[in-house]
Amino acid sequence: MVMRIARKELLEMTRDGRFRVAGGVVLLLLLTALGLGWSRHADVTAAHETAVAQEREIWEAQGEKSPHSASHYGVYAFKPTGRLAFFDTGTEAYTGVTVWLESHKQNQFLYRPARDGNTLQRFGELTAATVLQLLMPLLIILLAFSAFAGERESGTLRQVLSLGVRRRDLAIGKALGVAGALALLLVPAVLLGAAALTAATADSESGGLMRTLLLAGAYLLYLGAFVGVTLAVSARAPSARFALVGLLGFWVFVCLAAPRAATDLAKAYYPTPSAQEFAAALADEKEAGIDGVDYEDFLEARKQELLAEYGVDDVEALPINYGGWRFEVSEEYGNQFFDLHYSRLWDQFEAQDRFRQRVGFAAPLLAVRSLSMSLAGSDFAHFRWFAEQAEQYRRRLVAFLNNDMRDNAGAAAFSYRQDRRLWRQAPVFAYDAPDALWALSGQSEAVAALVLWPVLSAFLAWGAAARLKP
Amino acid sequence: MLFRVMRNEWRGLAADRTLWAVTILLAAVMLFAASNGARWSALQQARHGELVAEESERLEETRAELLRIAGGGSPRSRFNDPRNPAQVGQSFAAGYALLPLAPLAPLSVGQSDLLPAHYKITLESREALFSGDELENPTNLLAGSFDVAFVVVFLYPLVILALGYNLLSGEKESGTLVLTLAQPISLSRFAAAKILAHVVVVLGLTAALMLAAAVAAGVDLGAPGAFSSLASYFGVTAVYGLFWFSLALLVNAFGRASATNAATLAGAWLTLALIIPSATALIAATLYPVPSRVEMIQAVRVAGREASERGSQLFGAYFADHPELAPEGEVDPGDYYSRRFVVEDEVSKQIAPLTERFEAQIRGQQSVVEKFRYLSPAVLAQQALNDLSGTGYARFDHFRSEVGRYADEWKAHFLPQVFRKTVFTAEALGELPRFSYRSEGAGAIAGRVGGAALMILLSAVLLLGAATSALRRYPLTG
Repeated sequence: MVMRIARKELLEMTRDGRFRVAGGVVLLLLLTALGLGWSRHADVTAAHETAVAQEREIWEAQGEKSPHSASHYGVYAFKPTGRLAFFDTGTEAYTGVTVWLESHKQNQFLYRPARDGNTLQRFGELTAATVLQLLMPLLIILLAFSAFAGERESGTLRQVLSLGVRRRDLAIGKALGVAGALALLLVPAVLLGAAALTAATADSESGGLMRTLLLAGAYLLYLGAFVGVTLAVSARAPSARFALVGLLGFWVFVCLAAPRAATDLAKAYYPTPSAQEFAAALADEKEAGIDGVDYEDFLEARKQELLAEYGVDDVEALPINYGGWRFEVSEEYGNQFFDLHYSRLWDQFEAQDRFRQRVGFAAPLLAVRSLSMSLAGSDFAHFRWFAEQAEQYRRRLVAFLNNDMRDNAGAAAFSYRQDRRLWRQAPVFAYDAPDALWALSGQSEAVAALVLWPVLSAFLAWGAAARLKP
Repeated sequence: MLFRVMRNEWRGLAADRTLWAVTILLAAVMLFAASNGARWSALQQARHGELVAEESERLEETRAELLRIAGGGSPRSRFNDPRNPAQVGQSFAAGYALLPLAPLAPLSVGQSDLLPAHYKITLESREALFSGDELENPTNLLAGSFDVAFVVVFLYPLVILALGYNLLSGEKESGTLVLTLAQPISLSRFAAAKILAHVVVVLGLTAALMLAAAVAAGVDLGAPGAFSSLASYFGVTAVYGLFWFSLALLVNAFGRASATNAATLAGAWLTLALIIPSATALIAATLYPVPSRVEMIQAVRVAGREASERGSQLFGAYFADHPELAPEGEVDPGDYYSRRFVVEDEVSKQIAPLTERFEAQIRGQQSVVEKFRYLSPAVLAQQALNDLSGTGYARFDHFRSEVGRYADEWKAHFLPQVFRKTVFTAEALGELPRFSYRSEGAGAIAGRVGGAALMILLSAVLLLGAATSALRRYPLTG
């Protein structure tokens, strides 16, 4: 019986002009977004690979100079774009693409691509993810708002029930019918996306397959929630018109109002400091030191340790180059403050993101958006992961140069020169992308919200169907 | 008769819970949006205050240091010496160029969260000066703000559609339409009276809420131009509303069921307010892809290396290009700072074609946007509201060119002193060029806003025309 109902629903929907037009538009947008997203992603990846190779060449060809000058010359690290980012570009337009790694300083990332874009970007980017997040739910509402309410108005519901069809079979059948109609749209898109992905994920070091599967699961739960809510409302609503208007209102709240409202609330509860405040606080604390231990004290303590280690009582008597050693001590001193201030800033951003996840319990879009960006590797947490690795690399590179000066410069100070041979030996930045489990670990609230919604909505639909009035 | 229908419509609206629900909802979102805008504006105002304070404190310290050295003290180090004009121009006296907030800034966040409203002007190249950003969580930028403009562009049309989707279909479904038309009134007059009743209610409500929102957001209505800007802000809102009223009337004129009308209007709203803008953005980005900034950085690095290798040979060409910067007498090509700025200038020259390509692509994208925006009244309205709030792209673009002009002035002031190796003094600190923003002029803004409003009005009139003709074929029965 259930299957027969499902088949009838599916047949009715596919014959319906509304479904054909709306479904056709959604499918077209989905395929366009996938295709253009893919080609843009390929361009960005190619530019990134060229840049990484070229940057190393530039570093090695910098000519003869002191290692410390080389550390001021520095290198640029370029943020790679995740393989799944073509599906969900997430925050990529709003994070800087590169950071300059030099001695003494942890710099901010530069060049947010959105600043080079057009003004309409702010209306929202058209990606496969936004089609699934915003348009698919609307399509579900359009397909299913009249599932019960429409049949009640036309009187067929009374007939069907009088035949002894169980109310819950009817509900399951209708849900399956909607799911079938959605599958007609989603299957081609999923196949295409999967083909593109297989082409991309020659190596699966960042857990591409796992991430893809989890993404599919997340969207199933999200769309499932909308199917449940729509059927529940349709079963309870006094008329089809009422069901439609109510569901559209729900969509506006979830998909349009909630993301922005949550962002403004997040910024109000967890304010972002200004660049000026951030820089001033960093400089002030660096000047004052930690627990009254400023740079001079820090250096003095380390110097005494050093002298004791070599059993001498003057830096002149050291077998190493004191200047090179001191450069590295100043790095160590400064790094404490970068660690403190950057983690404070980034924790604040993550608190904002976590707040948004929690709003996902009221508006599931926020939960799926957060999870989707995270699995696609285009959320803030992945940016931070990269930024922290770039910073660790900066410290390794600067230490390598300072230590060379310490060990090999002897008594020479700034006249000490090094060349290509040393630049070639310098550590190479190898970015290690996090795996799917790591991505998931920051998304506990989003996952909980995303599981809760379809369960709750199925429960509501179930209850409403049981008490269905003819 | 017309007025009687309107009065009856008002009674109907007042008796229906929808209007009250909508009023409360709209009031709540407007005030929420106003408080968000107020918070953002206050934050920006405070940031500007911090920058001004930091700058004047720095200048005071520099003055004191210069006087101390003039009195026989020695500078802290070779790299920290305010007598050196290069160091003064680079850091000691580096001035901020600030874009002042317009009176209506709390009503539209616009591009103000993404594009910098201040730059620190040093002797660096323009690329370096313009590359800085305010700190912000990228997810916040992605989501955008819940500001008054958002309420107007996205939610307010939905209010109009929620009240008007069954304007005629509701009467038809309840059977009152045929009864009413038995009276001496034509269908089009009846429909006109009904929609007019809605227009009066919704626009009256919106005007009151907008005024309340402006006051709640802390807009100083006494500021020059503030009141007329607010009036224009409401004017754009009113015209934009007329578009959606006309659309609701047109859809009703086809005589379909209420549920069909609701679905059709929702689809139209989705297409005009969300799909067309983001599809246009995608088309623009595909037609005029902006190369990655990564390429630019590489080009700067390569050009920088080549220029520093040529080093002292560059001086001759440099002074041929910039005779106004040439000092009297010889320039020391070994001088670190002189060399540095000459090299930097050479780098800018080398990468100019690439910079030009970037800008051409961005202009190309913007030209696609300019053409396609007429397809969506939501885009037109959003741009007009941003323009009126001083947070539109055009104003930031103008600010950037003003800053570029000031940066040139700053260089022209310092570089001859650098080449001459002038000793910088406390008196010279009082003669620095300072930035003051020259606005693009009320005419330019009025032109853009007026043009957008006119286009929206024109589309509304076209829809009304179509509705009138469709009403003649209205199926009263069936």
